[in-house]
This record gives sequence, C-alpha cells and structure tokens, in this order.
Amino acid sequence: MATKSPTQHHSYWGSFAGPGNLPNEAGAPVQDPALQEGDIAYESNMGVLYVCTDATLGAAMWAALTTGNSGPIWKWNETDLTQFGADLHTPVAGTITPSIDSSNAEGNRLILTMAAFEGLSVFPVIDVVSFPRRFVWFLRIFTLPAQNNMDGVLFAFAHNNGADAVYRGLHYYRSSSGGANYQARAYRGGAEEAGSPTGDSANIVSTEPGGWVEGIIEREPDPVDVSDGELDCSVVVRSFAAGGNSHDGSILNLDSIVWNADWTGETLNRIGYGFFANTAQNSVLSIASMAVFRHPMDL
Amino acid sequence: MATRSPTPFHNYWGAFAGVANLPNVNGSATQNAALEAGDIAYDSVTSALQVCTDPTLNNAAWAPV
Repeated sequence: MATKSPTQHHSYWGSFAGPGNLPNEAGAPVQDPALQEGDIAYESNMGVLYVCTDATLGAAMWAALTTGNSGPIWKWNETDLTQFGADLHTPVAGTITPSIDSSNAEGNRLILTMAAFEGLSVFPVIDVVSFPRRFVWFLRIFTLPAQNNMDGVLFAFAHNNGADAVYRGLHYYRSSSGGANYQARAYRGGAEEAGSPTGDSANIVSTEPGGWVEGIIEREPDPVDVSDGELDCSVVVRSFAAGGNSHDGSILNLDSIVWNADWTGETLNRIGYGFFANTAQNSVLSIASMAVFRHPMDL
Repeated sequence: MATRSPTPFHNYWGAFAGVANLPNVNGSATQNAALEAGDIAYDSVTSALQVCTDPTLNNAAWAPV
C-alpha cells in the first residue's frame, strides 16, 4: 500500500451509471471545471474504468481502460426454467408450455410446445438487465415451427409493465410462400415496426442440428453521429445453417433491417422469448442457447 | 496531474501479491465492507492494475486494467 502520496490530490471521480453521465460529457449532470485529463472514473452499468482524455466542459471525452463485463449480459443457464418468469402476455387462445429436453448429449434444450395457440405470448427472463446502447443477441434454434405464415418467434426486449408489457424486439418467422422461407422483422408492441423491410430470406434448415440466428441492435443514436438529425438506429439480423441441406455453413441472407427505431429513454429492462400466431397453432420449437452480449463497439 | 480532488476519498487499495489476495476475493485475508466497484488495486505478481467490478464480501470480482 502506498505510504506516501506524490501529491495531496487524487484523480478518482467515483462511479457513474452510464458512459453518458461521466463528468463534463455533453448532457451529463456533473459539469466541473476541476476535471483534468488523466482523471479516472468508473462506469457501473458495464463495469468499465475510464480515463478522461479531454476535460472540456460539456464536451469531455473519456476512454475505456478495461473491457468491462465482457461476458454475456444475459445467458440461459441451459439447465432449467428458473430464469424464466410467468407469461407476460395473455394469448388470444391456447397455451405455450415450456419444458427441458435433457436427452441430447451436446446439452439441454428449451422446448416450447404450442397447443391451439393464437395471439402473442412472451416468456420473460427474470433477471432484470441493463441494455447498453448497442448489443448483440444469439439464438440457436433446432426444431423450427412446422406451420407456415402464422407461426412466429420473437426475441423480445420488453418493458416490465405487467400483464400487457410493451415490447420492442425482433420478429423471426416462417413465411407463407416459397416453402421453408424465413423472414425477420422489427417488432413493436404487437405489430411490425414501421419501415421494417419485407424481403424474403433464403431457406433455413428446419431439422437438426438447426442453425444460428444473431442480431445486432443499436437501440439509441450513436452519440457521435446525431448532428445530421437522423436517428441512425438499426437492427441487423443474420443466420446460418448448421447442417442438413445445401445451405450448410452458409450465411442465409436474412434481411438486414435498418430503420429509425429510436428507443432512447425507454426502460428496456426485460428480455424474453415470444411467439406470435395469427391463427391457432400446434407446434414445437426447441432452442439450444440464448444469450445477449454487449457489442464490442458499444460507445 | 490532478490539482484538486473531486472527493475526499481515493479508490486505491494498494498492492497485493496475487489476484487471490485482492480485497474481498473469496479466501483473501483482506475483507472490508468499504470496498466499492470502481476501486483499484495493484497485483504485484502479474504487475497489473486491477479494477473492482463486484465488491461483494468473500465474492469480489476484479478485472485487469
């Protein structure tokens, strides 16, 4: 331990929730002319230590010294259902019953069985999470829905507003035409997000070992790119097959979705797995892994 | 160099021989409820500055800077 201080002063400004709240940042509540380059502060949302590189009042710049919470923001434990809460949304009809399939050597799967299901259902994750401005989700799907056009799946980012939470998220579903075509849509509160494109994706394998789907979500405008007046928020979805047909290993060209879906200020503190069906469905979906990570380029 | 301290308190806990001996790490001899996320310490074995990301007593987490 230090036994003599080189000066009577230290450089630590304490802990702040969110990089936008670090001292002297534009819009930050702490504006103090005493801030100097080289001062340090801690950002508690992502667990990152920052050093000040420009102390200008209202325009300070901070650089991350650590990678912070490089692990997942949330990840299914691949063991049981304890991470999931009660259904957030009452469907129009029918049920979805979650269970665990432990018969696979490579690991457990989450089984979601739909019985005469119609409407919207979301299984929320119990853990309350704090989403960074830019994040990535991964999903490994095995058995895909058998029916066309109505059998949707959704990785949702939801408010915790009780029985009828407000959802923001991605709708990934099987279309009615072209056989086993799958599409991705932005999803907002029970309907597709305005501006969500409508192009079909390529085929995706519907048998084992399934495939990966991943999305990159920028839910708030980039703080260094707001001067043009555009929100520049985006969602990009892509997937690849993992075996079973001619698309093995291929990028399946799911729509890249770029739309102005500014979720700034919304308390997105829940995630879950959801379904949407226009008419009654009997189907089964199995999932091997689900996780959300901070994007390495989150600023 | 800082010419004014933003708070009366600094966050440096000193040097420790090994990550296992950092404050509040499970099994460490130093357990102190004053530890906070964002505090720093030096690991003299790896010559790495560490930042505390979870100050929980007997279950603290530290990350290298």
